[in-house]
Amino acid sequence: MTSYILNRLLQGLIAMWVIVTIVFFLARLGGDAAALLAPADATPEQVEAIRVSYGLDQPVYLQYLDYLRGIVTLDLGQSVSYRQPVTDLVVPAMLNTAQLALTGFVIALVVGIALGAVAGMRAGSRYDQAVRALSVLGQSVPPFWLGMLLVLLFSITLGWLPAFGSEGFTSLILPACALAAFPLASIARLTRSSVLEIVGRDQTLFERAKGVSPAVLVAHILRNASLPVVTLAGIQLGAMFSGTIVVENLFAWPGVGQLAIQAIQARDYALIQGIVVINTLVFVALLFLVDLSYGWLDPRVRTNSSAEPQKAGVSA
Amino acid sequence: MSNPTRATAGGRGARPRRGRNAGRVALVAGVLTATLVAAGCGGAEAPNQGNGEIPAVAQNQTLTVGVATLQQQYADPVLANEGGNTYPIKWSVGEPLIRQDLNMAQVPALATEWTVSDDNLTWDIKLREGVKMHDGSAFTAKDVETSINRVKNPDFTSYQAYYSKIDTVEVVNDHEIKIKTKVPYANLVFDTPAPVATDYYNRVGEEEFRKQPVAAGPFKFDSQVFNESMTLTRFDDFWDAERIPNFANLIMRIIPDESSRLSGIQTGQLDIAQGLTPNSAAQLQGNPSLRLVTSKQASVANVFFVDNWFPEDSPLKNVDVRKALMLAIDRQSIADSLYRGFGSVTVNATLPVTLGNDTSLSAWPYDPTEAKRLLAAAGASDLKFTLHLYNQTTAIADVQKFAEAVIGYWKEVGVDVTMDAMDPATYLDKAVKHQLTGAVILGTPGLLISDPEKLSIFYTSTGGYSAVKNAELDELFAKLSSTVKRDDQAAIAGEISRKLHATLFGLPVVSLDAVYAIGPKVADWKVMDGNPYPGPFWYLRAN
Repeated sequence: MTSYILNRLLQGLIAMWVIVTIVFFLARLGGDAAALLAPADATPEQVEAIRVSYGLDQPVYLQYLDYLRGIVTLDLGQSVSYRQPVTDLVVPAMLNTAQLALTGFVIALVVGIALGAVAGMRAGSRYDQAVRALSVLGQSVPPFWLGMLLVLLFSITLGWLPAFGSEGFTSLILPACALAAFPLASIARLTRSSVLEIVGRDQTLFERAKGVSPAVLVAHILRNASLPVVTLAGIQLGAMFSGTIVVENLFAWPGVGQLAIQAIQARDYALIQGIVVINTLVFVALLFLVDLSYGWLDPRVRTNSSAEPQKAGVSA
Repeated sequence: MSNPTRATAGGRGARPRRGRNAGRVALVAGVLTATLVAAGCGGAEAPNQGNGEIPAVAQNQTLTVGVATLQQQYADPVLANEGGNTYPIKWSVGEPLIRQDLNMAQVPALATEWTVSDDNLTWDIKLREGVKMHDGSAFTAKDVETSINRVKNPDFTSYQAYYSKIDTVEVVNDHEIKIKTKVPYANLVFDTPAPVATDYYNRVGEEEFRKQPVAAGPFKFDSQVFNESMTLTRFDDFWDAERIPNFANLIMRIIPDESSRLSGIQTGQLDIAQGLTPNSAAQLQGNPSLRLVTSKQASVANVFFVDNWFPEDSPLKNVDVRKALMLAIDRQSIADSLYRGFGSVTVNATLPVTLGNDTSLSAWPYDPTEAKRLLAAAGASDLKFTLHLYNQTTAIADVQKFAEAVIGYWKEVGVDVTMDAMDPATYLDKAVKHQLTGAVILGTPGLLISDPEKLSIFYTSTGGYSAVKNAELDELFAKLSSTVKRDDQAAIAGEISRKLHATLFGLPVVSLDAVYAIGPKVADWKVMDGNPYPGPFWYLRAN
């Protein structure tokens, strides 16, 4: 198990380094922030002076080495557009995003597993057909479109919920629902197919024949069907953290997505990179936790670190 | 608190609904479909500005404005000058020596009078007495000096050009200051940063001051929720009673998405929604709870022929070709159809709010036949070039549709134009570095070009977004820059105005209004024509 964990940690670090490096160089393809920081009537000399003052005139490889050194020492640098340390900007925004993403995730997980499990156990019924139709719908509707529909209905037409903002629980409901739609549909689909497969196994038939109580039977089925769902849920949670941009923008949610848009528009390299580093860290950490959870769910992993757990989609 | 009627949803299909029965929820799909269809079908009506009685003390003590951005959200009125979109802070928390009134005329604010020496280098500025800063301290010349010394710091990028011209600053007494410049500087008093409270600044230091600034504007900075909102409170001791609001709190909510601002004004979460496109504005027209307020000619949508900056030959260097391209565009149709009446045909690159604007000039007509003739005569019947643009900008609503319309008209006279849209950061960077050829689209805010010298950004060889190298224009702008007397400046600006009209290095295609929606809590709001940015909120009054 220890080598399994170390192996996953190493893979995570390599993934972080690759992503950070790609983003570092990609961000520089479109020019730097000097022209955007300078006033419209600045002379070329004044623009160059700004470039020098922010170290943007340095060779790219020096900027890169400096940046890697900063990451190692937990210094993500200074935002040139906000004139504040990147960490001071990204951490509060990330906490706001986490609030939104986790709420959406809980909705997606609870509702998705419940819908999928019942549909899997009643395969072919009208309920199953309805869940399948809803799953297709949930995966097809873009979050911004769904968000606009929710605002039109619950904010403008019914007046029940605020159209935007981040004050209190009520303002969390609509963006979380908009964000949850896609993962909910995915989890419901996968849970259904996974449950369907387990229900058809000899082991389940045997348990039924033995007269195991329905509650215990359902628990056994869900436990066996959970591995691919856990993998998918982990990936979806990571995607929700990094994919909130559209929803945050629509609901004026002060998260990392909005910050990323502003950083990109301002060519704020340090801020862009800081957001990517922290987002990648969250994503890698989540996948790591998912991997660890296999040990709890699948005894084979605990006893044999080389055993590959059943991945999402394999049985779907 | 009043209980204003909740705004109806956009368009004809939306109705206010308050019931809680499940039957309504069951009609979700139908309601949504109808609402969405109706949202796109608003009819155009004349904007309704102003309404009835304005109470001395408002019942609604808090007004919330939805703004697209506060740039990097500096509360400090001097730092806020780093971008036009932060005018709400610059004009609310700060009070300059000279300000612009609603008609953009420069009027005394904290300076009462000013004179310049015969060599046009030394300015003697008399300051207003009896003015209080937000911390209760008395405003003195020291506060002006402190503010000037602050912008020496290269962090204040917008003030580096200003500071490079300053030679010495001498406090004569509490209400008089002398500023000597290295070169004649006509806008010195106007450009001087808003004074800040010296003792407070010295006590807390630069970093803390930026977070909790103390200046002399009509609103005090109260608090900020990063990336979300900024709250200002009324400054009761503000020197100009006319500009003291009748409500206590002004909240600026940062809502980047236009549809969310639209929803906010409809649900009553917002009292003012800034930066509405004509299509969104049309959705709200006919709504009895909401009014539209427009700032006329807030910006101009221009096409600049940047080939005129490069030494290489180009058909776009021929004035007849540029004239043909202007004549080929049905600008009235663009103003009426694309901008739904919130735009107008522009006579010239200088606007009525620009000092020295020559009002005797008339707009170039729509004449595709003459355009074709001019192109043929210039041997440019098979003209081809690329039109570069940003894919979004606050200065030009629906900028991509605007570009498509212009290109469409050019195609009708046989000109083959390729459209190249890119994100604003990439685009502006390339424009500044002269990496774009052919033509570019740029918006010129009326507020910026109310000062004719600012047109040098586009029309002189060394301007930031220079589109042309022309010795005559360079000379005229240099003369303008070194001229201090206002009348003389106006005369030179008039010459520039005529020259730009005749040469058409840039086509000022249409001017656009800035559109705001205001809700029932707002009693009145007088806006500044020519200003595309939110505010000023001096003449905003609540019910």
